[in-house]
Amino acid sequence: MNKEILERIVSLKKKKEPFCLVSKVNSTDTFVITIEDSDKSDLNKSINKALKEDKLILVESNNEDWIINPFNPPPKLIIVGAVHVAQSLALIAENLDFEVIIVDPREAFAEQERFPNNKVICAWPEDAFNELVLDSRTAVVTLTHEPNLDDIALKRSLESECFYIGALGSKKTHKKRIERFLDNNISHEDILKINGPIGLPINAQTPGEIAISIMSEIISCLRNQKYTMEELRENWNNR
Amino acid sequence: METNDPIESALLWLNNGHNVAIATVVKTWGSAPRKAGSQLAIRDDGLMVGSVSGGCVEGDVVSNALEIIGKPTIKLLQYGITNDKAWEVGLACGGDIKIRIESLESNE
Repeated sequence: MNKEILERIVSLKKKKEPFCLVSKVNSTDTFVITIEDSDKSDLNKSINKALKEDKLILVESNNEDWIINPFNPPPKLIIVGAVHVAQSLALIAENLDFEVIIVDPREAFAEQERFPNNKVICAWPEDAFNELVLDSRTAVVTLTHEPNLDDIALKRSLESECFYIGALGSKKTHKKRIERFLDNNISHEDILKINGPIGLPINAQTPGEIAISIMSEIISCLRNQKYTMEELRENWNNR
Repeated sequence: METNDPIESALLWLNNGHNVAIATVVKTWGSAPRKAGSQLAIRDDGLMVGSVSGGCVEGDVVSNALEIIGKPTIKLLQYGITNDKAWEVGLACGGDIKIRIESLESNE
C-alpha cells in the first residue's frame, strides 16, 4: 500500500462509491477494487459478497490468502419534519457517520441554520422523495405528527428497499395511523414494517433522549437484518 | 485532530513527511470488541487514530507497528485467551482476534 492507494480510497469515499480494499495476507500487495473494476478480477464474487454483506472476508485464490475489506458509502437517514427532535437526531446520526437529509415544507422549520451540517430540503415529502434514492442502506423517520406530511413519506418508504421506517407518535396516534392506512388498502404486513411508536422503550423524555431511543432502534435494524422489524420489536417488548 | 478516519489520517501524516502503518482486524473468533475490517492508523511517533479492539491491545499493536514502520512490510499478530501474552495484553472479553499490520512506503 502506498500514498496513491490512500488518495484513491479518500477520493472514492468522498464520491460515495463502494469499493473493496483487497490485500494479500502475507505481503504488502494491496489493491483498491470498485464494483466496475471487479468484473476483471478473479475475486469478483467475493468482492460483491463482501460489499453486499458489509463484512470483511478471507479467501484463497491462486494459492494466496486474500483479505477483502469492503468500504460501503455511509448509510443514509432521511428525517421528515425539521423539528426539535430532528436536530438532536441529526447530530447523533452524523456522529455515527450517517448521511442525514432533512425534509420539511414548512420554511420556519426547514432552516439551514438549524441543521448546519445537513442537506435540508424545503419541500413536500412527495416532491422531495422523487429526488431521493431510498436503497437498502436508507432509514426513514417521520417526526411531524401531521398525517398529511408523515403518511405520504411512510407510504413511499414502504414501497422502497429501506432497512428502517419509524414514525413518531403515541400508541393512540399510531392506532389512528394504522386505521388510515388500512382504509387506503395498505396491507397489514406492510403496516407492521413501520416502527411506531418510534424508538426503543427507554422512557425517553427530552428531544435528545428521544433521539437516542430512535437511533438505537435504527442501529438495531441495521445490524440485525436477518430479523424483521416486527421480530426485533417483539424482542424489545419482552425484555 | 483533523479527522478520526484512519485512512484519511494516514494520508495526512504521509503528506506531512511521517512514516505510517495501518493495522486491520482480519479475523475474529468469539466475542471480539471490533469487527473484522476495523482499522488503526499508526504514526512514527506513536500517535494513533481508529481502533482494532476496545483499547485492550492497541498499545501492543502500536509497539509492533513501530518496529517495522518506515520499511514496507507486514506483520501478523494474534491476541486472545490462547495467547501466551494473555496476562499482559489479552482480550478481557474472551474473544480472539488476528491483526495484520502493514507498514507503508514512505512519501519520499
